[in-house]
Amino acid sequence: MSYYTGSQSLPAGRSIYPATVQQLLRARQKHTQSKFYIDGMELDMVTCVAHLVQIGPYHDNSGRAYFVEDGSAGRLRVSQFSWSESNPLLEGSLKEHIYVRVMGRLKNFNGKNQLIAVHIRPVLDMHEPFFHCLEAMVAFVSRQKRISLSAHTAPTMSRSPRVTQQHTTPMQTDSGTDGYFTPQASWADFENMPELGEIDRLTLLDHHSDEHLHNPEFVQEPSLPSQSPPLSSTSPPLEANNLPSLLRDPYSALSSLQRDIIIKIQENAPLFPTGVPIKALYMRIGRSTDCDSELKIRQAIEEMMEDGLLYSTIDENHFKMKD
Amino acid sequence: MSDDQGSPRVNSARLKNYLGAGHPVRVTGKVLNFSDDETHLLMEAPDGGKIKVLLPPPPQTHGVTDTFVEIVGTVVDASTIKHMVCINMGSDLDLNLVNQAIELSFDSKFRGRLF
Repeated sequence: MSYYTGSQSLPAGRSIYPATVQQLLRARQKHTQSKFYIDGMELDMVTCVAHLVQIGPYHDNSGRAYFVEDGSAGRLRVSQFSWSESNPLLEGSLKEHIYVRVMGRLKNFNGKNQLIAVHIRPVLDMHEPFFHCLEAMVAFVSRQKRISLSAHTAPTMSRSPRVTQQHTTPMQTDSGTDGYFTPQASWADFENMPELGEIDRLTLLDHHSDEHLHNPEFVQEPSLPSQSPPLSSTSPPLEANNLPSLLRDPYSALSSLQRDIIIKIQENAPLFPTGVPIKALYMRIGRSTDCDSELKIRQAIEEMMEDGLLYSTIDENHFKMKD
Repeated sequence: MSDDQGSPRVNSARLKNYLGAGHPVRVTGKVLNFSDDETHLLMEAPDGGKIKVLLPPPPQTHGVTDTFVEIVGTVVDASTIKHMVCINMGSDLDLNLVNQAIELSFDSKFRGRLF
């Protein structure tokens, strides 16, 4: 089903939001010149399929006023200003008590929202009103999910230092001398971690949590389960017994190593404002996936950089995830 | 129809919830037959239930011409509505789709926000 936009084409980057009459009537502006918002979502162009209840002339005969309802709320006034661009195919085809699709922008007159129509046409396929209902639901849920995901993946940091001896973890080097990487260790200690050839020996002994790898001034509180990518499809279906999940896992095409890298970069991004160092990734991933080569990790990172998922920051050894 | 209240789309199972609501409802369905005196018609609601639609007396016309229609009207009882407006919906409509859309519109995620 395609949208007929009439003689006006949309500027690049604009989208048409499917909405119900109730949403359009409830939309609010911060001030008279600002865009409309519904449930925190900004609206530009909107589309609505509704029952054309009444047709009336504009008070100065420079256009027409239509009144539509879709059962969700009261009546919405739709104003179409210019008849000079009217489509001869449509003139006469709009009559009361049919379904129409309207596209336009909201305006507020005297405290009540109205739709200034860019285009209005009769519905030909009677499934369209129900398609529009479902489309409005999908658009609503998608926007809500996007809002909640962006809030959910925002960096969270506890400012209370957790510096105790009980978190001390012994690490043995080749020479047999014990070194203790304590939470009191500074950021510089992390940067000066042994080279990769010795990582195996170091990681094998660390069976505790990863707290010592963080900057000890901050304690990371993972906002998402560490076993799945932050943007995985955890959204529940609309109805448990019928409809599929609305969001797919955007990282389903990645290998398990790439997914681990993405997860670790996401989790540690707040601790490394200039980019997560590759050494940190190796320390975390090398232990859990038995990947004992920086080369594999670096290759995985480069592949994801080519795919646009990651980018390097201060140098070729620090990475961030693209939004 | 009311200017400030909606007219929710319902099926036969939900009709009784709007008894005495003071505002009309919408029922989309298939016209099964007219009474001999054309005072009422019987329609099949999207969930398969049967609804009786009281038609306006002459000289008013009911406007029903198609097999599938949407009747906007007030609820008289759990299986009867009184005709106010008729929207003709053609000869081919998937009532299962209509019923799914109706049931979803009553989901708590959407009720009060979209519908």
